[in-house]
Amino acid sequence: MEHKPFFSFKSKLDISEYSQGYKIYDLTNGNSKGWKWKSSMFFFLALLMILILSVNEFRIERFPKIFIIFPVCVYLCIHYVCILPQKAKAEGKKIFDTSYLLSQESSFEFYKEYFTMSNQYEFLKRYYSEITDCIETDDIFLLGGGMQNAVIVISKSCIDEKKCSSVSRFFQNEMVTQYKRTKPLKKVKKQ
Amino acid sequence: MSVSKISESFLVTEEDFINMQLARRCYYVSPKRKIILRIMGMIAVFSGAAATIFVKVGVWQMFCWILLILTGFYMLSYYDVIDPLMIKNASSRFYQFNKNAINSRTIEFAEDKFSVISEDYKLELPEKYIYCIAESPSTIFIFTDKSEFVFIPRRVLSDEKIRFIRSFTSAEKYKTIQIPKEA
Repeated sequence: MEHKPFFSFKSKLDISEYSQGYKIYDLTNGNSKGWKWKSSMFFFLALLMILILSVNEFRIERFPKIFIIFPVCVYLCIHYVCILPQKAKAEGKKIFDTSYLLSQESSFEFYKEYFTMSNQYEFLKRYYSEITDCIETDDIFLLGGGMQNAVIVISKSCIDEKKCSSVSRFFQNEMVTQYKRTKPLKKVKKQ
Repeated sequence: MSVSKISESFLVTEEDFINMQLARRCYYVSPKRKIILRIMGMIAVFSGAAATIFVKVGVWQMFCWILLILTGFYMLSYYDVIDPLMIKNASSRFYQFNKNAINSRTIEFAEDKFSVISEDYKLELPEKYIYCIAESPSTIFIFTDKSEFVFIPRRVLSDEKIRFIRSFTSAEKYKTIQIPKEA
């Protein structure tokens, strides 16, 4: 006997939503993983250079190597904090542009242990245990993990607010360790 | 005997998965990046060696120059030795951890449609929406977009079926992947 889903809805992505989701996944679990500790390391290295110079009354001629090391550290810090996220977002846009499947309207159904995603061409069944990241932002839900379609982005624009809250609570309960909410940019007026 | 349709069922083995990851890495890393890293490695090795031999330095400076030479060798061998080794280890661990979730799948090429059927995934895509087909010595990739793909180990296909897959899509959508070393 097939169980009924807890809830179901349809979602259609646009390029900005997918690129946002891809950027988050890339920075969390993808090629750009570890950007926080790397940028912090170079930041503190740059700070150390300044400290060494300040102790020596900013006499650069005594430490000529700092002239090379300091700008490299500053560049790498900026690279990890600013340039890498922009590259990831641009990569997400390129992937969306090359994909016919991502722009299709998909139906999502959430069951006790798994969820399904289906559209005209594709059907995917994924267990919650396979999901490594469940991230909620103001505009999207991001489900990362699995061997096929590792990045699943669900647009909130097609879901009403009440259902969105139900979905959010469901994710928080079912994926306790994987769930994360990014800080809301939009302030919700308290009634 | 010409082939007009392919339908193959297979289960991905650990070796298939490792070969796929190695081929995938070669597909995504541009030859320009490899050349740049090798050139930087050669510069590091030569400058470190020259400084060690021709410049009179103290113990600490000698240590730094030797470190530069070792870094140069690391950069020279990164894409040929170190990266494939890391990929093999990581892929093997990933496969062992996830082997219960890996199901057998059936892949079909028929007329102008490509299909994948497994327990948890189904795809039926017209040929015109395939992004590209890439072939390495051990694996054939069918990309549905720039990053998502389905792969078939070459061991499950006969030469005739491989020829059919090569002609399935237009020449501009077909790519060959060169791999230095495989499992």
